[in-house]
Amino acid sequence: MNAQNISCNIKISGIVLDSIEQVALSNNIVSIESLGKEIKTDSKGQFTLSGLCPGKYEVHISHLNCEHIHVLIELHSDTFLKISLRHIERELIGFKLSAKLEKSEDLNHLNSKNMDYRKGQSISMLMQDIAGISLLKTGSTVSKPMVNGLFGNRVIIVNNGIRLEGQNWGMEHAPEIDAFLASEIDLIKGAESLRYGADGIGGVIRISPKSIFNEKPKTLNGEINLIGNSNGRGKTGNLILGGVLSKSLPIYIRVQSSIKQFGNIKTANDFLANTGMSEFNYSVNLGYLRKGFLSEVFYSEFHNKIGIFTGSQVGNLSDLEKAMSSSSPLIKANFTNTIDRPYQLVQHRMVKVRNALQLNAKNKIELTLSYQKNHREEYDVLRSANSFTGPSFDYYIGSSFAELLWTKNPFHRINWKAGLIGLRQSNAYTGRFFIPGFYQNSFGGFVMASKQYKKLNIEGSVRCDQKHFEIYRWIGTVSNKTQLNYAGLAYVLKAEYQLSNKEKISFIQSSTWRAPAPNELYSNGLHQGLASIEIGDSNLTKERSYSQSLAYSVHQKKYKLDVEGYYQIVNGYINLIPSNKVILTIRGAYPVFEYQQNKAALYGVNARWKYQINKSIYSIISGQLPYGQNLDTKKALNLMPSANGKLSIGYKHKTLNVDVWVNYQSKQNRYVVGSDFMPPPEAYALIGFDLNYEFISMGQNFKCGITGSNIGNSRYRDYLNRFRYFTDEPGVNISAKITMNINHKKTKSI
Amino acid sequence: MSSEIKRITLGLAMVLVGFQACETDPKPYMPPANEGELITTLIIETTDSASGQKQVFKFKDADGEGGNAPSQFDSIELEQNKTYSVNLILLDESKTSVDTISNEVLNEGEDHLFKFTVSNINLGIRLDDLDKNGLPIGLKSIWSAGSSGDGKLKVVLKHQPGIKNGDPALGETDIEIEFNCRIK
Repeated sequence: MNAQNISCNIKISGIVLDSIEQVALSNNIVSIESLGKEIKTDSKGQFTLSGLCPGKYEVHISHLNCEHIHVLIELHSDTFLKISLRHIERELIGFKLSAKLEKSEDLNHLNSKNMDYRKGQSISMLMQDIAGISLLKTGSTVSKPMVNGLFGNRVIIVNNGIRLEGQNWGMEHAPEIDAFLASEIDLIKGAESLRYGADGIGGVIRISPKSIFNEKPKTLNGEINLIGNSNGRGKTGNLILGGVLSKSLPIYIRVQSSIKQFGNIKTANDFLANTGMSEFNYSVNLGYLRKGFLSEVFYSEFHNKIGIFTGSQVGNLSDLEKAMSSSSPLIKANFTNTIDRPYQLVQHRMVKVRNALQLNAKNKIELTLSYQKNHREEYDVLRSANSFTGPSFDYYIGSSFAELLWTKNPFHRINWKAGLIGLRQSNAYTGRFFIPGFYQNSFGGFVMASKQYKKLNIEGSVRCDQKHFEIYRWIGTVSNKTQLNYAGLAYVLKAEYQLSNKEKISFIQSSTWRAPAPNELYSNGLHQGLASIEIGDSNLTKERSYSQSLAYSVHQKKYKLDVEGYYQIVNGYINLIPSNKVILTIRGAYPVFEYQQNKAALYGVNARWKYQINKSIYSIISGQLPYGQNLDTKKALNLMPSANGKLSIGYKHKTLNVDVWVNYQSKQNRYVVGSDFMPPPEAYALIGFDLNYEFISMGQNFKCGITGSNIGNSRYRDYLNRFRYFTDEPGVNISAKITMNINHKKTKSI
Repeated sequence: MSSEIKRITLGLAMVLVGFQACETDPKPYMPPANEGELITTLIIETTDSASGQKQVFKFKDADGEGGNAPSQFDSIELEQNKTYSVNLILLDESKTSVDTISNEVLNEGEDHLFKFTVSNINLGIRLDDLDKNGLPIGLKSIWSAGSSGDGKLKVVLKHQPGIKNGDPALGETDIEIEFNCRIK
């Protein structure tokens, strides 16, 4: 066939429906980007694109309240598409096309494909590919996300629609989430962020599993993952199985379980004593979906035991100084899977029930109830082998949460969402004092609205909260009860303008607030491992943040560029600052760190540029430049990530994909001299690669991969690792993975 | 619609069952259990070898590290040209029944070692007890005071499980107190 002779008169027509109500969705934009063709669905949800040549096309369907979808189709003749969208939600159900669904590449979004090469790593590790996210680490086994330099209580993590409530305040407390459940991760910055709270001054990280309503009748659907790691001799396995009982009884079921074991991690030169970990998780998800009604129950358990590097528990300042001055660990180790003291033992259980009722085409009501129980025990090194066997401290936090959500769409041509939220939390501890026991009762409400004016989309949200804390502190043998109340208003405004169908620009302006956490108010004690004493300040008031960001993106066929700049002022930023006091103890004099409030500014730029060199070779450059400044003292904020970047080159041919990259982390020169035990470590560059191949065997889809990190076995330390005083970062690691997709169609019905 | 309401009610009932779990939450106002291990007090008991006269010097910080400042921190006073036999006693006075930690240190003598460091003062110290491996512990020692003067005496206790070889640089520090010391 000659190119000139191809008849270019093929048409694609179709209909877009709400998957629950099966009502037509108008005003969807259906486009084929490569041809610059674009059309809106009419009031019957129908569309037609004509005058197309045969070939492969990427059809893009977008709607204000739905996910943007790409569908790959190969056109030979006129084609009819029936597209079901879960309206008002990001979930997709009952999708009738076999094509892959993916949201367009975005600085703040990761889909399962982007995360594939990190399979088997912790949830925080997965997040770090989002622009602006760095990791605050404690050794090699504990890490938590930091968004543009903010972490802990300032970052909200939403797991499966529910805000994660753990011992979030602790620097050495990692999020208690099974990474195998994550199918998408978003850093939410727009109006929707307020749905999850006003205290996410740093951001809201939302981890979404694959919707259970993707399961199809008469099909057993699932995945098996097996992963081996050279460093730590890690073994990880995961199994997901899901299906639907029958077409007439639409009960969706999915079960999942993962297990992980690592032994001592090795740096470039030495094994690190007691750095193994083990993890066991499982979850059960049940769903029911009938026209206009959806109900879902989700239960998950997370258990892990994390060894803490033995040399990090120093008795006092002299021990710390000695450990810092040694170039190799003072405690020698070999490989072992055994975990001794010090270690952390963490359990997190969550149950969630969600009911959604589509009252009519324009109104939906959703009620979500959940309960989470977090139990964290930390076992320190014992002074005497037989004096005591329990944990050195033991925290419990139980959180009951309810959300009532009403979606109205559209009303006066504006799409609305409003919600009421209640939280009851109880926190208790035994053992060494860190954070007092407390009850928290909070109540909040929010309204979100969005409106499309031609190429301009405006969205906004307002939220008000009332928080009540009842804090119990023991002073000697006397219990002291303090009642605290906080109330505040928060808003987010976002405007996004489509400059062309390849270019858009968006601006976000927001003001959010956070109440001081009980540990910031009342902590008073020794920080094991850092040989310092932290003292809270009961006069702390709430933090108020004002933030602006501007983002620009252009997605051409040849290149994709995403840039964002942000500037944030936090009034009353609560900061742990070294005082020039020392406190005399039986273990010598300890430096004192005090919580103080200052006016702080956080600003910076995040960018990513992807360039398609030719059909099969591409290159990606990404980087972040974060800054933090204490405006009162006119000095740098401590513990900010330094400028960093990643250059990667990729090759893709059919189902083979190879990527090689270099990560560069500059030295953090911005810190307050004398405020740290040791100056920040030197800059480093690390080389990594990923090779993966997909194939079909025995009727099932397999994916194999080999990933290498720090393949030069470089010796380096990271400023954001709290163990930078004691140990190098891990040396080379090679991990091999195999994923088997289970897609078993029952031919006979039972 | 009524069937939907039934389903919602059923869903809610299931949640309520789940919420029963909250009732088992530990109560924030319960007193926190005692800390596992704490040394609050170091007592130096000196006995004049010639006269048998006893003196006691104390460091006491009843609530452990942080919190309130040490409630007692004595200066050591000795007399010149005298020899003392010295006993160290460690206590945990944070508990209602005072725990004598020095008994544990003695029982696990092979994991512990005291070190005395003297500065600007004429005081000789010799450890006078042995663990089961024949290495000194330091709960008992002999002090020989020389000429008069003012200086410092630092008492350090190292925890050296499995690594004790007589070198006081090893291990983790359990105690480090620098006393003012005067020889009259």
